[in-house]
Amino acid sequence: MDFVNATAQMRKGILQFCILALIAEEEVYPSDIIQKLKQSKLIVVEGTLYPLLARLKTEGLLSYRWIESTAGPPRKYYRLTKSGEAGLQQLRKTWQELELAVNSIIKESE
Amino acid sequence: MTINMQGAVFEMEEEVWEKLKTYMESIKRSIGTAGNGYEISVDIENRLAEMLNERIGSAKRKLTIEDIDHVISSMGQPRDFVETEDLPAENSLNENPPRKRLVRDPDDKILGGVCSGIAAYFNIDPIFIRVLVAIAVLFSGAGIILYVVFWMIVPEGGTTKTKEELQREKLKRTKRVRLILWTMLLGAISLLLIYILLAHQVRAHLPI
Repeated sequence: MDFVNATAQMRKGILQFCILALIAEEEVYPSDIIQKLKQSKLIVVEGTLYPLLARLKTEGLLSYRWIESTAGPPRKYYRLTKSGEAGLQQLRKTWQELELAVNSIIKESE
Repeated sequence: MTINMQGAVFEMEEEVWEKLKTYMESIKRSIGTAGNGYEISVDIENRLAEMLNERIGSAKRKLTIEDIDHVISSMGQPRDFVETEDLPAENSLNENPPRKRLVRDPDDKILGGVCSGIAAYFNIDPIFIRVLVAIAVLFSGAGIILYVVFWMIVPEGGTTKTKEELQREKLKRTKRVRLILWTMLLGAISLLLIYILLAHQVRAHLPI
């Protein structure tokens, strides 16, 4: 079995969940959440974020507005749409179920 | 030189700009322009400009190679972040392999692509078939007839090349065919010469 791929896939799904959760807290500028994601090793490089945000936006889960910045070009600030919030609820539920299920299976097999 | 990046203006030496430009082009290439591609490239460029601005601060200095290396390592290489599900899956082609058919290969041909087609059918290097055919041509001439027959009855396979590539190759091939014909002619002449010479010598040694 290809464990590199399996780990990457697992990370990817969870990354999407975490990004939605972070954006749900407050309207965010992508590079503001990068530090948190890097610490948790969900993201290694910042570039990962942009294709993902663009996809979530296309899927209607996120929206953004332009805000002027003193540090350079105007910035895109993202927040959840209604369906983004609904999606996040669903992911939360799935995560809790999975966490319980996986933990109990791992414990039994130890 | 002065570079304008999404509205932000930077001063840098040419080699520094080369490095930055190469990096941004590699991102654009791997993200493409389909779907969100263009938007993503702009997002990344905006962020790169912002990071560079932060590094310079209020110093108003030129950008250095180190600045570029820093932002690249923070943003990452395209292969590390491009979402792969948008690209065509490699193994989807192998799931249901099509029945093998003998076709001439338009992407790898010297004359009609017969040899490379046969080679592809048996999954071997075309050079072996080409050498065999060349030997058949030299020794009996039957090779020529066989080749032409194959050329006529075996259908041409699909190509993966663009029109321009095909045109360029056609030109190249015409030159190559001319070279082959000349070589064959010269070969024939030298064979004839050798034959005449040998005949002479043999006759010279014959007792009269």
